[in-house]
Amino acid sequence: MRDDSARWNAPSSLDYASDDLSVIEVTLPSQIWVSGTDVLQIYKDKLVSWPDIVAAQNYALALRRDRLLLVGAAQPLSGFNIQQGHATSDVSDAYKVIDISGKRAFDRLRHGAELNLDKPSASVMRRAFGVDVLLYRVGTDARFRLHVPRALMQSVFQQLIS
Amino acid sequence: MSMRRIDNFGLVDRAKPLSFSFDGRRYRGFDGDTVASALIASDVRILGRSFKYHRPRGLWSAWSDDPNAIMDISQNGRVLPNCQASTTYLEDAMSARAVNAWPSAARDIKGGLDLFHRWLGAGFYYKTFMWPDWHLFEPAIRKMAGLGSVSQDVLSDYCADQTFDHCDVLVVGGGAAGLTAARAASEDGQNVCLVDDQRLPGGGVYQMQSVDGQDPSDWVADQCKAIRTAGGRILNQTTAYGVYDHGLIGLMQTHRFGVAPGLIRMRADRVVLATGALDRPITFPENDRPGIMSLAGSAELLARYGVLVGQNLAVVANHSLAETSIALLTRAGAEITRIDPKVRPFKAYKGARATGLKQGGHARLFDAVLTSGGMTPVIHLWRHMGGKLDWCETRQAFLPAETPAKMIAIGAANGTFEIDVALEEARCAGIGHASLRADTRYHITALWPEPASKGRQWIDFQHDVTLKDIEIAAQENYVSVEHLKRYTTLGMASDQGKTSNMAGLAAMAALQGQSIPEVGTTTFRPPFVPVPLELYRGPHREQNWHPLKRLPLENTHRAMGAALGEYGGWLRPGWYGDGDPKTQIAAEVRAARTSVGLFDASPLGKIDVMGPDAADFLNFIYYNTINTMTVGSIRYGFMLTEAGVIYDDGVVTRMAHNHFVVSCSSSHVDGVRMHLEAWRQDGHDPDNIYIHDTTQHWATATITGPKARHVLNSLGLDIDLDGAVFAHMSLRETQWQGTHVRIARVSFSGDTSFEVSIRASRAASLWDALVRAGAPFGLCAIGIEAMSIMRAEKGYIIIGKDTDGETMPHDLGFAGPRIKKTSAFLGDRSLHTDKANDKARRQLVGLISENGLLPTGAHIVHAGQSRGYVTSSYDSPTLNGPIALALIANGHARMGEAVEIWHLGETQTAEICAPCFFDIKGEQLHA
Amino acid sequence: MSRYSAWSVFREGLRKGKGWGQAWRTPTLKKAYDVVIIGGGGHGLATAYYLTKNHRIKNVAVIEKGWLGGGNTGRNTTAIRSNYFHPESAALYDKSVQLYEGLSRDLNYNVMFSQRGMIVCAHSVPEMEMAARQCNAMQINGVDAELLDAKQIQHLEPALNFGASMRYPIHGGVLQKRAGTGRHDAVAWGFARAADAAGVDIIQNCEVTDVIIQNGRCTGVNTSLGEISAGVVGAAVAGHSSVLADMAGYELPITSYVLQAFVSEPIKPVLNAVTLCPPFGTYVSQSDKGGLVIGGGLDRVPSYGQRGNMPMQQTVLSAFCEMYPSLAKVKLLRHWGGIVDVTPDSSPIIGPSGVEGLYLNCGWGTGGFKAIPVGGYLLAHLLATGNHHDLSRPFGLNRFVSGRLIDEAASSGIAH
Repeated sequence: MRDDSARWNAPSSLDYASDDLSVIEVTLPSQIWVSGTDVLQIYKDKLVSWPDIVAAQNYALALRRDRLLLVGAAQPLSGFNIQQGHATSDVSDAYKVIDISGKRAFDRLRHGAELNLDKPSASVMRRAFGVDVLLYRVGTDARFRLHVPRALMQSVFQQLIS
Repeated sequence: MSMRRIDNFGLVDRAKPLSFSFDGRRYRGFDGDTVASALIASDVRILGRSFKYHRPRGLWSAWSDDPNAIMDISQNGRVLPNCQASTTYLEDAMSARAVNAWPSAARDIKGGLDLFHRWLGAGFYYKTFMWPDWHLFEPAIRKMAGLGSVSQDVLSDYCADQTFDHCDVLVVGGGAAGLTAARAASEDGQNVCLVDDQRLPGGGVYQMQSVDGQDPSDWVADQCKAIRTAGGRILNQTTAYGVYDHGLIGLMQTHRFGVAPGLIRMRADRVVLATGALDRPITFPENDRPGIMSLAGSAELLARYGVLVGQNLAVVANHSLAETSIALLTRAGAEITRIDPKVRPFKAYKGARATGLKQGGHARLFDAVLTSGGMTPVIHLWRHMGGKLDWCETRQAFLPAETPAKMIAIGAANGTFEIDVALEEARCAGIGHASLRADTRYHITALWPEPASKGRQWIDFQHDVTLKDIEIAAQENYVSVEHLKRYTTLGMASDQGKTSNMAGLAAMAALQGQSIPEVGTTTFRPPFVPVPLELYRGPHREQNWHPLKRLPLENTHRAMGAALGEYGGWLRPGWYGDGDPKTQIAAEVRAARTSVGLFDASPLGKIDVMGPDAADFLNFIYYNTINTMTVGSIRYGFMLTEAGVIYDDGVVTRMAHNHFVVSCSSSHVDGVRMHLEAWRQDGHDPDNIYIHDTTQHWATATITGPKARHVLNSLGLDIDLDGAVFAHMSLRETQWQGTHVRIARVSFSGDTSFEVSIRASRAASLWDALVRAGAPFGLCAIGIEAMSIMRAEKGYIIIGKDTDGETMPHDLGFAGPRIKKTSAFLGDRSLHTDKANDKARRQLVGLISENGLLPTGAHIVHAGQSRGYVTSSYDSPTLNGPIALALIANGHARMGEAVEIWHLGETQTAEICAPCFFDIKGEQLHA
Repeated sequence: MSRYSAWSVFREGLRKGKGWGQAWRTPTLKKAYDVVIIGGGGHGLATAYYLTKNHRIKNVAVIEKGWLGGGNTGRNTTAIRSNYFHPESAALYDKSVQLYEGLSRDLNYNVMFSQRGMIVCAHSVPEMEMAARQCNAMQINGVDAELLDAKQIQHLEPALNFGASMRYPIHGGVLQKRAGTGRHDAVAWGFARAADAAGVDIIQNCEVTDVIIQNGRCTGVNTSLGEISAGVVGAAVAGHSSVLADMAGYELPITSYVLQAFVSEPIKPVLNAVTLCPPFGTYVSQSDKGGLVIGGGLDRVPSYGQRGNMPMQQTVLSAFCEMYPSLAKVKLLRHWGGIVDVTPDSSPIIGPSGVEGLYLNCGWGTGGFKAIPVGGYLLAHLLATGNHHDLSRPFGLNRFVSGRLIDEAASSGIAH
């Protein structure tokens, strides 16, 4: 038994701004995992991979050959749809989401992940700052959106802004 | 200010003098100097001592190949050990001390050890110190060994910046070849990164009178400008120290003294190796004397730092490149005497302020003796990459052989020593073409150590390995090159054999009557130069070394005065309040047992397993039968390893016909997810099973205790909580204030409990509502410590605490599926082995003792052998007395037996009982 | 064999070492031996030595494809210890420590077994409880062990991190005083020299290309230097055991991984014991020469490449810096990788291979160095008698059928 409360910084806000780096927390209407053999095909019009730039409010992040993350879609109940052969889970709160911009944005991200804008990837999944995250761009070519498993966001955020 | 500094030579900034000290004496140098160059400029001859014999050591070379001048350096209260003086740039107010020498390098009191050298040769320590015992001698030997001393200070801001990078072409080395290749590549439109380990790129070009008809400095500036203009990058003071799998190259970027270097993990499509070549020593008697240094090193001292090592210089060289260096030294006013090393006997001796050479009966004193035994291409990274080497008889050197994928060596690193040829080769390499190795104008007379010749001839200056040592090693049959290295420690000094390996190999070849390539080289291991351990640390420290997972409710718990601690990878409330923890925890248990407790169970796993094969899949994964579960029901079960050992326990809920939620233990979620994924993809149809770990989407509040239902009722949910309707081990889904919630009636405390799960962003509202609703009933927030006691009172296990790497379900009393389950499941085979059927298996039991609390970790002993151990032990607030759980051999059949308990040499007795101390009939659980 | 002693060192000093004889011969390979041992690492050489010493069998060849001691014997972190949980393991490894304790004099070669002690730290209350379980087990098994609190550990190892921001604060730990380190090459060389002196032929640069099996019995090996027939064959080839098994037509439950190790430049003494911090997965000792010798976990991907990769380097070295923050400024001199042969329970396999006349000593995983003497001792026993020694019986290949695994990692929390 040891009280380690003081050893660990209390979670802080995920907003940060300096001259060359800005981080803001984003609340997305919904995040939903959809798995199935044909999901990449079914959602191909909305599909986002690396290094795409998202413009829509409603899109589908390609994760792996049989899985994507629907962002902004209406929330179906979690479960398995036997007609479609799709498995669905609401994970709207499983990821915390931040947008990173500013001159140092890409450089800061490269402190935690091997990133190359010239090399496309079929998936937005990345290992960054030691954590499995989702990374892509939104709006402009210099604004990055990062989905981080909620429980580890503090660590990623602190490393990102340090 | 200095007798050795020559006007109009060197790149140091003479307008910026710096002051520093060495071994307690003050000196001055200039901005741009290294510590070594400033000391040589100040005419300091002895910069260090050798490792074993404490022989005086002068500077051997001007850059990273110098094995001699190793110093502990401090500045502004920061002390760094074992700094190479030749690569440490001078800064004001530095204070340097030679390592392994006291009181100074010049007057080292251990210098007398050299008198005993004849008894301290190669491997002497393997042959003695055995009687009476090594431990008698070892402490003194340890003290003698080691180079620098490390201060115990923790430099809190000494933190490496670590980043990832990539480029099309990485050019390693910014000499003439490297600059040219980088320029060609970047002007060809490629993304180029040039790394050079010095402050100013240029490599050895400053030794030349002109490059491509230009002044060397201007030429370098032009190339740099052209590279940058074409979009290329130049990283100065950056060393490529190692090549790893898939073309990953470790780059160390050094900064000011005392600042941690940065790590760049560079991924390059192509690497151009332009690392140059090193001048190697000539082996002759007393060749380790201060004042004897490499010819190329002395030229570099002059070209870069404007330091001439002496007026009256002897040059001992055997190859054509020496002429360039000699020309340079002559231009600076040195008088050169050429010495032919082939004329023997030939040896050095000590003069008062000079270095003597005796040859053929004549003795002469020189300010310095400059030797050059030929050029050795720097091919370390080539070897890291897996490139092969060929022996070149013409150049007397190992050269890169056929090109490995993605790497080209050029310039001196490739044995191309002529500048014009090298530049052409570099231009080709820059645009991706390897050129055929041209005939060389370089000529060299082979000059290698001659075994059986007289005198002490040094091969490894730092480690005091002499030719004699190699002869002894050969005589004793340590002839494999690795045996030679390990037996004599040749090449294992901090320069990793940059000066010594070739001579050592050649000596062994001569002794064996073999050629040098027949002897072969030792492995070239990264790092190319020593790198601070901090380089690998960077942000991976303190809270970011395996960071804990954080609860959605952490700040709520903090506001409630929670004592947070690490439990299974999460930062969780251990207890609440800042009184004595034991008292607080006992109070929490009592409150939860008598009224109601509120517990944050959010880390409990919630892994969706879905699809047409989900039921059969889980039926295979679990020890228990799953495919017969009804929708809405919950079952407790075990996952086993293939060895039949319990891997995890937890509950599984059937949400729908083809949708289950696996609620594994909090600390095992990541492991269970991977376990499920592995089996999904191996032996099952992955297209019919999908696994979504949604754990972090949810927060879970557990309400437990006799008043739990009352509290939940006051939330106003539209479900009937009556025990007869909503039975233990079942699930309801509903809405709370418009948000979907899952309510599972399961229990870890042994009391009536409800686990209410809600999306994480709504957790605080739910928690506050429960706190308010519970207030009239005396609701108490409880931490994991209280929960651990309560579950032990009930006899519920914690995996890894009350089970070990051998525990099978039947050891815990769950024998049914082992006997009855007919369908295949993971671990089944192993549940029927000899060992699984052994009578002496350790089984979970309770223990009661009249002597107070049993220590957790105490063993049950019989006839001097362990029969098991206490796995959990608490002072039970519910029972007002100690309780314990234990794994004991054949325990189930031994109820009521007294057993002997051993703890750290002391014994006591206890009695075996059933592993349940609370609500044995389950009335409260099912109420 | 010229005997080594302080006197011989003195005498040879006077005559410039002219009298030092070969540590071992370079013999010509014969056509047949009573025993052929595949693998000239520590275990193989020790096997040869104990065959001559304990069983008077001297017509023995050790076949090594490279240079002797060039595999894991020369690539480890030199820790020697017997802080094991299960009685079977404790008996095995403690026998090894006992053999090490007399080894220098036994072999007349200083292997520098330095009993500096080994500390396994505990970093929380639950870990302290596990430490107590471990310590009690060792004491009951007759192995020396002490349970220490944080103050006692700080006293023994003042350079350890007791700062407020330490990721895993140290609560206490278990000390085995008789544990320590040895000079790894010297162990191989000492066994080689003593075995050679007793008549064993050590054949270097000779690769076994096939195992000869006639009527189900192993009768010899084919090598790059020709065929050798053998009364019995012993295999002690560590990371390459599965390759050999493939030749002989049996299967081993072994996976080979890279294990990396690291050594710093020499510094004056700062560390006393061998110290392991389990949550970091990293341990360290300081060699007599002054280098910090650092080891950690396995590279995760099965491989035969004798070099390591950066992610594991970062894990191990950042852990080291967290354990000893004042030593973060010390420089790394070398790092390397060895191939370790890991079994499902991380315990070794000693015993019959399933092919008659072929016996195994393998599966030591990351912990083979400390077991060199006992590994050789037991394989020699098997080769000489055809029967298990009591110490090796629990470690036979048949345990993967009987289920009698000896899983230390699972029960004691200490990786091998």
